[in-house]
Amino acid sequence: MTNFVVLVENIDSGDQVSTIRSPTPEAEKEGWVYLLLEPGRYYLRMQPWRNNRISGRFFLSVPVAGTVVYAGSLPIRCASVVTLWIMSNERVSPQCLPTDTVEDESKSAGQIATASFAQYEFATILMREPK
Amino acid sequence: MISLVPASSEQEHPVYAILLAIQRYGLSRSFVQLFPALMLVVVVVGTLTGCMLPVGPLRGSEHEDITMKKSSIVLLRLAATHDGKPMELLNKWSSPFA
Repeated sequence: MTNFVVLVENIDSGDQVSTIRSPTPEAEKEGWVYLLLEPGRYYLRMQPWRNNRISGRFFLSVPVAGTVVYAGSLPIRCASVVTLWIMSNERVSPQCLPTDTVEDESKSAGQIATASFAQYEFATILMREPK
Repeated sequence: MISLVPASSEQEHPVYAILLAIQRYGLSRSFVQLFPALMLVVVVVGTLTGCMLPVGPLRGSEHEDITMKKSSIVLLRLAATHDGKPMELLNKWSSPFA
């Protein structure tokens, strides 16, 4: 189950990508996810929770096919819990603030890539905010 | 009168030909008529399999190989913290829309 939304749009074609996967269940618990993207230029935005604020756009470049590209880590700060009442069921939702910065965790990403995608070449190309 | 010569549309569309054959001759007769074609399929699939060529639906790894010829894996981490402590953003919270 994913509570977040990652919005990826090809800058040139306008095509949107919505399929998010995780390498392993263990990696998923730590927030590691991946997308399959054809070479090109993309804008990425993310929304931690459906009613939370959507992050700013990050520019993402995929130079070639057949590789694993680590695009960076997005820190998300969540605070107090809001209780919702829907159809008599108590549900909880965090209030999260998406980041405007990208952190570099290349070492951990390399370990994830080695464990799950060892047959492909690994590279780090961090997302950045458009100028 | 029933024509024993397949029409051009039947030759172009084997599925139609099979359905028409069943309609014309009944299931058992149709099976006899189609037996050579079935044997041909068995021989072709057996030959391809013997040559280690893929036959049938793609397995997961094959599908991934084909996808990776066109795409790359873009790895991200959504590093969520709750009041400064690590939080499982993906699994911890129940979705009101689930």
